Amino acid sequence: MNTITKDQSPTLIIEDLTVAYRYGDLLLDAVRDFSLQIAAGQTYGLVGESGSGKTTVAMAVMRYLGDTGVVRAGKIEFDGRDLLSLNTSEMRQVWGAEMSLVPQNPLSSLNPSIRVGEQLSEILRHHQGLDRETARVKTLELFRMVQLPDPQWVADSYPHQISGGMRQRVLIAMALSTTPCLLILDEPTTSLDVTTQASILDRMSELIIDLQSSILYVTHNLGVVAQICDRVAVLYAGELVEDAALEDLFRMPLHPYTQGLLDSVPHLGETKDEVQLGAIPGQIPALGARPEGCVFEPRCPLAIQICSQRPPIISTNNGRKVRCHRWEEIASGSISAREIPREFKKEGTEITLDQYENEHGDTILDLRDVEVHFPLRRSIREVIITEPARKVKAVDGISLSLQRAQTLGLVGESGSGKTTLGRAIVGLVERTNGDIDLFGISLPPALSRRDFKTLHQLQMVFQNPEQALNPYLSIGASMRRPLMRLAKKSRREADKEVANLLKAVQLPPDYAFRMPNQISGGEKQRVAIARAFATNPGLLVADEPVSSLDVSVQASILNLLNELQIEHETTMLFISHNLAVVGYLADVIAVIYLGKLMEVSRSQDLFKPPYHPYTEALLSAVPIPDPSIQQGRIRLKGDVPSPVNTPSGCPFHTRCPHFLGDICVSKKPVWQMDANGNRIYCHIPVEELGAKQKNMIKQE
Amino acid sequence: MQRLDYILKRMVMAIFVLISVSILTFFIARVVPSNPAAAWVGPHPTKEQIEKATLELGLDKPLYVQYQRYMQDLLSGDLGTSVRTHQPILSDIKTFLPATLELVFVGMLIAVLIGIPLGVLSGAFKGSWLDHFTRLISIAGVSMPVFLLGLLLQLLFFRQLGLLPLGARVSTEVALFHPVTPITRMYLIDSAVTGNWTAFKDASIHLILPALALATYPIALAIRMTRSTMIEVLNEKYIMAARISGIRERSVLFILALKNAIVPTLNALGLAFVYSLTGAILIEIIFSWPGLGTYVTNAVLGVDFPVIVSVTLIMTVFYIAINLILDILQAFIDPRVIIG
Repeated sequence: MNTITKDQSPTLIIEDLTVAYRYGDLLLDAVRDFSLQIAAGQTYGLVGESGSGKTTVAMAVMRYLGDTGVVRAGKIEFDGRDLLSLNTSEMRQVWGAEMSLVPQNPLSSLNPSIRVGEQLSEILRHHQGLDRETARVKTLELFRMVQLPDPQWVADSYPHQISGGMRQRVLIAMALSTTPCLLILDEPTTSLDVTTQASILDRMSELIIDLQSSILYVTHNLGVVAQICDRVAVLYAGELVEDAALEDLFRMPLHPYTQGLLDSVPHLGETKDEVQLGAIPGQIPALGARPEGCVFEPRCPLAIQICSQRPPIISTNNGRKVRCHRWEEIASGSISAREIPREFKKEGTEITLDQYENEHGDTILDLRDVEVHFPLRRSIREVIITEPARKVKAVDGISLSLQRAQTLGLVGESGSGKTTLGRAIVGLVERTNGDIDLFGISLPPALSRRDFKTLHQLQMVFQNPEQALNPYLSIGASMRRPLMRLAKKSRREADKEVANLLKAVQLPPDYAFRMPNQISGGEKQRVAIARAFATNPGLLVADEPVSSLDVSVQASILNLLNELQIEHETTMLFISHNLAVVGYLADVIAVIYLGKLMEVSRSQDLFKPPYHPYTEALLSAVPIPDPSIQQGRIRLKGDVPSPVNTPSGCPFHTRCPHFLGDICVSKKPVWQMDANGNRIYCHIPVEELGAKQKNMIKQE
Repeated sequence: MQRLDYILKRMVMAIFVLISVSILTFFIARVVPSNPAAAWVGPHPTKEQIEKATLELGLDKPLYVQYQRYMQDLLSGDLGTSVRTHQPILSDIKTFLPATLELVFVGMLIAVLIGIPLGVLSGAFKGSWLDHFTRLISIAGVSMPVFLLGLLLQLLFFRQLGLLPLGARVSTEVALFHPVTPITRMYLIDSAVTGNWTAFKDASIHLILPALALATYPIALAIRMTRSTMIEVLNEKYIMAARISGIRERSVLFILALKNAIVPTLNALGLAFVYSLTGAILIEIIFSWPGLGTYVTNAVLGVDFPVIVSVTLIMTVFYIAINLILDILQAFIDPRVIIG
């Protein structure tokens, strides 16, 4: 991270920018009176949730707002030129050459039918007039610069043939190919796994220092901002609410929204027993329904009379800016939106894993050597020599048990098999081997072979609430179905129960008559949760239930799940890629890699050594939304191996930072137990592991 | 390697389809209630004549034996004999098929060269005058009956302007004084190969009107399909990414976007191609074009089963071949199909 802010003229000046989108005859403001200045070599974070207008700002700077976007007022000055006065053919000289963009979704941003190297070479040929040969050489050079393994092979591949991390590196190489003076990064690592994200962010911060470009970093992730930016602007509902240097913002947020945002994400290592998440009530107002006064007023716990008038943007000390009537009171500490300022609710219970399991005696779910293998289609050659089809080993021998009212967090990166395992338990995919017992009764693999009583006891909450509800059924009808079909209730009883359930998930009873498209994403997820609890299931499988929601909404859903679970004594399998969220909600955490378990630990112990080397790498890769925390630094080499040819011995040996040698390659590890009864799947004795490993998260 | 595997798989599948269709057409032809032996003998047959013909044609044998015999003949290049004209079918087809192929090839080429660029542009400039104009063309192209269009073309270019001939493959003078040496029996190719440029020019002029009439519907199809897929593709993120890396709009439209948008259009044109092989009968009649459509229509009217079966089989071969070519082409245009 660099701290160059010399008194040169800024690369980018945005003044009072107002951008609207056309909806029929209406013009709705997506961004209002937005101002920002980025100095040469500065990395500026633009933070906001969905609908905050952060991408609109980025696209306005890029002059690419689409057919419906209109700049209604304001000025954008880039490198001394008035950007808004340029026409498209003049912009074409700026695009790619002086200003470039790394887009969010690396797969959809690469042309699927053109080789990756060719896509970069084309830019070089166009902007630098290179011939084919030279462009190719330069392309490979750039691929090496972003640390792509085997640049030749990558250059000759099509986008679908390379991994997500590689694609994003390609896009970064494309954006940097012409050494632009302004680089806009739009959520460049959001769709990637944490370990991949960490190594890309590392490389990016090095490149940023080398290149001296100015950077506008658009993201919703406060952790990433804390890692890479010098300065941060926070957007809410189209308005700049706060703008400050990185350390200032995290140390003392001046706007109630910033405070809420910081409190709504669980920090790594915090558990539900210790901390209550500060959920921001309500949701972000829709584009046409923004309040006249302060945009945050309807959700602000500190709102008073004056807040119904629009606050001006106020410059405070240290060049900070804030848009709040009550910032002085907040700065002096006399008021705060942090009602429960991250207080410890109670001391973490210091019992070991086996004690815990014994205490909760009742085993609800028992998995023994569960396997889900998908056969691949055979090639002609394989058919001819009658070779058996190769298999994707999505889940490769997992044994686990869940006790009554326990939450087991299943954490892993994409492709680890965590979702497949959840689906195999519910019966949405059929396991190919192993046993699953629910309440001591063996479950058949196929959903169609399971009886009503089992279906009744097993419910699932899906990742994407947008797709989980039938768009043609009212909320009430959606919730009635399991009640009538599985719990065999009459229509009257079911209707009464629906009202109770809606109340339980804090939704008004008249929501039963609404259609899914009339409610927000967070509300849909509440409905999905209510539906899952409708039959009072013994086991709930929640597959990434908050990952598609905005952080300010996430917290309230996590709190809700926690409350309902305690009330109903439900056992829950909580699947997520997000270590902080899993660590917060789960009692016990299982870490999964390539279809195999690596570690099973009490959640408060997972964040302390000894851990499995893979857990260690995961922990060091999670971006922590607090610049004052010193994080360990372990980066994994390469990508996750293919689940078709899983490595022999320990599946993690190809990337392990503590790789021992032959034994890891040739022999399967055994499960070891540490002093607290946590289980680790590794050849290295736990004592040695503990001695080698540091605490990954250290407060300064 | 993956690509090769994909292509091989397609080929194996094509062979399977071919065999199934040969069985299907053969049996359907035999099941249809009509007496091929009676047709073979001619009008007003006697009982003895029919019995004799039945024996001669092997119609007294069980169906599978008949099929076996039929397949043996087929593989040795014998398509059988027309029951109406008593001509070997192969030699009939050798004269009629090339004429049709020549016409349809040129028609499709026109459709690709006109329809796809217009589709790209109207997709890129949705709502512009060009878009409205091409919509008019495509509605007219789809809705106007082809015989009307043919007549209008003749009226305009032959009667009014006197620019182009009325019909036939070549003019009488050329047929008499500069005859085309039959090699492939596609006149453009044959005359070009033998250096008979007078005939080449004459044949080209004669092709223009029927090819244009034939191409109208595929042009309309190509415009509409290319337009809608282009609109979809132009909304993709990678197009935005290409534009804001400063690449020329021309390359964005005709290379980066079209490569991802062209496959459905090509598939539709492939179908239109096969359909036109026998479906262009009205055009063949209007322009006195001695093609397959006329031939098969006469066969149908005369209940000439060996001809019907043979033509069906040839059509199937073309259909399968075109599909195979399109599949392979697709593997090169859009490599994602290989794993799909």
